Amino acid sequence: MSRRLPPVEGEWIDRERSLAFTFEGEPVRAFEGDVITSALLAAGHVTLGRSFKYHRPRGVLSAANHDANVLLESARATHVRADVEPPEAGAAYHAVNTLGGLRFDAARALGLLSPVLPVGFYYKAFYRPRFAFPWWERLIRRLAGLGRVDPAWRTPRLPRRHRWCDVLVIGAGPAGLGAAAALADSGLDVVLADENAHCGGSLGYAEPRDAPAADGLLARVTAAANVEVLTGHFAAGCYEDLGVPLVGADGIVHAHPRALVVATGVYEQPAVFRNNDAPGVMLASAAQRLLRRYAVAPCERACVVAGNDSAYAAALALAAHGVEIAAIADLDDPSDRGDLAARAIAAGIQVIPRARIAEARTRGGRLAGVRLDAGAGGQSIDCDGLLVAVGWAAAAGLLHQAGARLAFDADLGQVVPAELPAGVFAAGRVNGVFELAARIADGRAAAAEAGRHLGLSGVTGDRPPRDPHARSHPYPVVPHPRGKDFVDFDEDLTVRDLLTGAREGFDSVELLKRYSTIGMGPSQGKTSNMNGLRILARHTGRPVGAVGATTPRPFTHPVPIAALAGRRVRRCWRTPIHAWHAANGADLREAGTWLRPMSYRAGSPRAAVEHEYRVVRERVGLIDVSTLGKIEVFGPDAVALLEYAYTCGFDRLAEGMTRYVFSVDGSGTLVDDGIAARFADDHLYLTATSSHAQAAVRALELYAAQLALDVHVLDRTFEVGAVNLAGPRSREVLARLTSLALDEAAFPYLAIRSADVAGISARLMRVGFVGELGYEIHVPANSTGALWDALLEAGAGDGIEPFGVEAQRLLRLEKGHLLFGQDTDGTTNPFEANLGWGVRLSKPRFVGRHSLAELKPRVSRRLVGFETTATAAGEIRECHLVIDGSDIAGRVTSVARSPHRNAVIGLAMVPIGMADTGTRLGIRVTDGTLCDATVVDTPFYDPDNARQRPEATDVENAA
Amino acid sequence: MKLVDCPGLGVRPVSEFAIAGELAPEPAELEGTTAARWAFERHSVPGARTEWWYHTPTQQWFEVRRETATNAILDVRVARE
Amino acid sequence: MSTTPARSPVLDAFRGAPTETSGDMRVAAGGPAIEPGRAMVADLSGLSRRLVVGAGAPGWLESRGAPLPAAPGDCVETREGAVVAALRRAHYLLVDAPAGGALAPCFEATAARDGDVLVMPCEAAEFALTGPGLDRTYAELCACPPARLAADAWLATRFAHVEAGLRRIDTPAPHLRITVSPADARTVFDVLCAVVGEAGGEATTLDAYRAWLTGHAA
Repeated sequence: MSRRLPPVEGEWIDRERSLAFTFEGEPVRAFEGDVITSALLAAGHVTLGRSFKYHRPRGVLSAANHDANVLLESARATHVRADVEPPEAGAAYHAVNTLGGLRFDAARALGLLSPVLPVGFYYKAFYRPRFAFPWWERLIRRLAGLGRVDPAWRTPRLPRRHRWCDVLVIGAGPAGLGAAAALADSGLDVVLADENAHCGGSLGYAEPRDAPAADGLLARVTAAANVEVLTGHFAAGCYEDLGVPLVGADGIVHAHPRALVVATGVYEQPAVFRNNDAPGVMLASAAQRLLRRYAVAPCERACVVAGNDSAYAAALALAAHGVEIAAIADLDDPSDRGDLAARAIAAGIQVIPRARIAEARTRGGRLAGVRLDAGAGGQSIDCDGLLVAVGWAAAAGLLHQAGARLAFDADLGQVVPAELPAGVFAAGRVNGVFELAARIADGRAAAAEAGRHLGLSGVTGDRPPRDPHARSHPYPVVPHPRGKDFVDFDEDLTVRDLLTGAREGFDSVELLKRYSTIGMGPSQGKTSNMNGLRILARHTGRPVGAVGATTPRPFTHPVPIAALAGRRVRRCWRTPIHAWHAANGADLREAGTWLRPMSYRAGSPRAAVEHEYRVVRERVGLIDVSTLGKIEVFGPDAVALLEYAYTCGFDRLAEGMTRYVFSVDGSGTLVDDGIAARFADDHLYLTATSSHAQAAVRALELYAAQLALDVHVLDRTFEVGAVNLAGPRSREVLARLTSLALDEAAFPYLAIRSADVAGISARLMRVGFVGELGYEIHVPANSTGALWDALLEAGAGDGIEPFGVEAQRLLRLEKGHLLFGQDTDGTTNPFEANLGWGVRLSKPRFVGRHSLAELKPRVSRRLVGFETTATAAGEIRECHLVIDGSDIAGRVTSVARSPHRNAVIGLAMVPIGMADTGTRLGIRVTDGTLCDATVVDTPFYDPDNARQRPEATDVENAA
Repeated sequence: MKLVDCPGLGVRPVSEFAIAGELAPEPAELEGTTAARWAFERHSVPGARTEWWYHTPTQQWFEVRRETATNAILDVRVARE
Repeated sequence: MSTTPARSPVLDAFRGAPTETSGDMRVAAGGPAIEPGRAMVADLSGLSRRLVVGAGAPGWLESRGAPLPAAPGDCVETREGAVVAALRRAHYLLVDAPAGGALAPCFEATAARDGDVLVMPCEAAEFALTGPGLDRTYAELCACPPARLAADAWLATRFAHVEAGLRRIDTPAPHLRITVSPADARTVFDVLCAVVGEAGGEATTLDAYRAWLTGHAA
């Protein structure tokens, strides 16, 4: 049974090109230009989906993405909006949310439960009795959600792009076309966007084909070189400074106009009566779209509910294409409807005045007829289509998001803009202008205003008056004592649900929305909010305008995650030696934005880490520390800047020497640590922790600006690569690559030198972070790879090997060195972290001075070292709690098995009363058992720092 | 997308900035307040306030006068000038 | 002068390609010729770069014959294609001409402190993006209004989520030169390779870029 009509003038389908797909396993043929819904209807399908809660059969409602009755899934997509998406050749579509298929959906039995699924069901179910929670949870988890996600799904990449323009016109209906045509050849850069595949809006389905006012409008727009037409793109929202994402099938176009013309029109609204959701009941505009866009007859025999004159236009159009019109049931007096009603009556269509529909009759899950209520004679009319034309709701979400104030116009029965922000203009039906010629003129006037806003006077046009008479019926609601009178189709909400919610106290619009979930389904209230407001207004005895309205937030329609993700660039910093690491088996992981080698064995097993540890302790190791922040401070006020930024004094830092520095914030909390080196009084060099480098630069720049210091702060983090050559044989290895004197007198611990290493100009620092003789070598980033290769080659005979972050952490822990951000957190001050020696409160001014002066005498906890050989010790993890009696006393900040001590060692933050050496700590491990540990002195390794004095000590035996 | 019209830079998207909020340098002497109050007391009363915004591509701080009730930017100055 | 050459931060992306030394840097060579009408991305990291910073920087540059941009964000290009860009107050970036030598006196000076001027090697990666999809690629990867991308501007912005310096050059055909840090180089290069790949183009090398410029200059 084909519902496809002979060719209809202006149809969007191409009858020369067809394709095939399946729906619920049945083959369906479609034409190019069809949407899935139109192809299904043309093939005779009426029931296209199941409702969310009661699994009621549903058919077409708006044929325009204003409802979510027809949501399908395919192998490619989880939520296919069949009303607006073209079918893919060969695709297999199924309705979402069925148990066993659309026709025999087993979950339809849920409809029988509707008396025990009251409004606010979740809140009530999870209130009491408590023992029923798991039962409800299992049931809800099984039934909740729409569509199944295929975890193996690969999304195409959908690049976003920015489109800067002068004027963006949203909506290419009569008003939008009027605006764009007025701006044609104006010299302004104009974008005209419409969600439909073709321009024209209601011109293409609801207005007479020969409407003279629209003559040539589209041709003028498409011919204009300064107007870019973006069909198939919907405006998802209006963000700050008029940013409007236009979402299309191939991604998002971020429009940034200087002026915005909103000509988004109106959403047709359903009437509320019993079984108003039966397949076959649809909005009159849906029938018109199906008819004129896709040449599909929406039904064979139609009945029309009329609350305005557009009902008559729809009836006449259907009749002209051979659909039998059984009757038009007018809610009021047809003689008030004007010319169209007269034409319908003259055409012999039966018009029943002041008719209220009592209910729709169904047979086999679809519409079979309507029964009018007793006041209209109580007659019953057989029909397979019921077209509803009772009113409109302004598509004003974008205006609201742009900052417009909207008000309910009681005469018009619609929300209209009352106050618009600068640069935002409304036109057409969203602005309360309904007559076709007036809408076009309104668009032209909006264009003129937009032009004036941008300093252009050439475009002129005056605003036509708003319509004086109602286009929307004030109360198209006929509650039924036995219910099924749906207000919200997404959420299966009936009149009684809303009234119950209101009676239970949720009688403000925002509360009722959240309690009942009206407007919270996939169509976001486009076809339910207006009727909900009317019902609430009547219940509370207030005019609709006084009830208020819920906030229409983005997105207008759902936006695919793939579109939001765009090209999905993941910023990842690579060190200059990255390629070597990757080629040599490094276990590369993200550490902040950096990719760093944890070790040089996949998964970094403990054996690999301890091997790398031994290389450093016994021979010589090499680690890539290019991730360190590196900052050049240059200028007359360089020292003054550092004196303010850091807690220590710099007067004793000699040229050619380095020192450990750390910074706090205004509350005295530790922020960052590093090394400061002095080349000259006006030239210093700093390092910062890897994760804090950019923040450290920002802070120094900030202080320089705030204190008006004459100094340049240069972030060299990415431009300078760094390696740490560490181990008892590091000096011998380095000596082979540089002419720099490396003996203790020429290059002592903590000194900094500039010299060529392997022919690369370098800065070298004597550092002891890992507790061995070591050199941190800084070279230009693009030469770091060459330095790395040269060091590995020079050290080959000494057994040099690279080591990763895990071994470095173990080495530094044995040495008792802190890791900022691990051993400290957002509450740790220097005195707690045993760094009081680095705070010089006598300095006149530095960041944190006042707070540190207060904190110094109030230290209540301290970072201590602990050690244990208890059997459960291997289970101790960072952040395990230190327990005192039944109280939490502190926590473990670092822990590892120490090869040197042959014990588990760690750092823990504990109350001052538990911080003395020898105190026993109880540490609760994951399985709940308490593990005994003892507070010990740190460092755990080489407490006398003998490893830094190789000449003075026999290095092989120092530890 | 919020746009910021900066002296020397022109109109830039807000994504080029790191926003640090209201920041005052630590004074040498606290007058009429305590360290705790100086460090912790803030308010969020809507109104015009001067914030520090950092433009990451040029590594410059700007002082941005912003009306927090409407998020309107009233004035932008290069912090060093 | 280094005896061990530096390496382009994206050298590894040209696996198997022959290499050459440009300035002091080892870069891939022998890439496909840049053709009009085809999207291409070339690795220009091998150009010589210097940073000159400090109160005396303008004088230092002028005394060596380098042109001076008027204000931060401006850049001046010499006839040979070398560039002096004012990144910010008293902070200049020098990029030598693809054929080399235009700013020779500046590059001959040792990278070191020189009075109130700090002269440093500038470690960066630079890419040239050519082809008909240039404007569209810019619109995708950069949220800054394109009006900022003037011929005499050094546009410091975020490009492909990364801080970058952009120049638009109109000869021999419109193309973008994109300078990013070595740490971000591979992220950006991979994005650009994907972009030109979608348009049927491919990556190429500095020598191909030089040949493109000289071929048109001749």
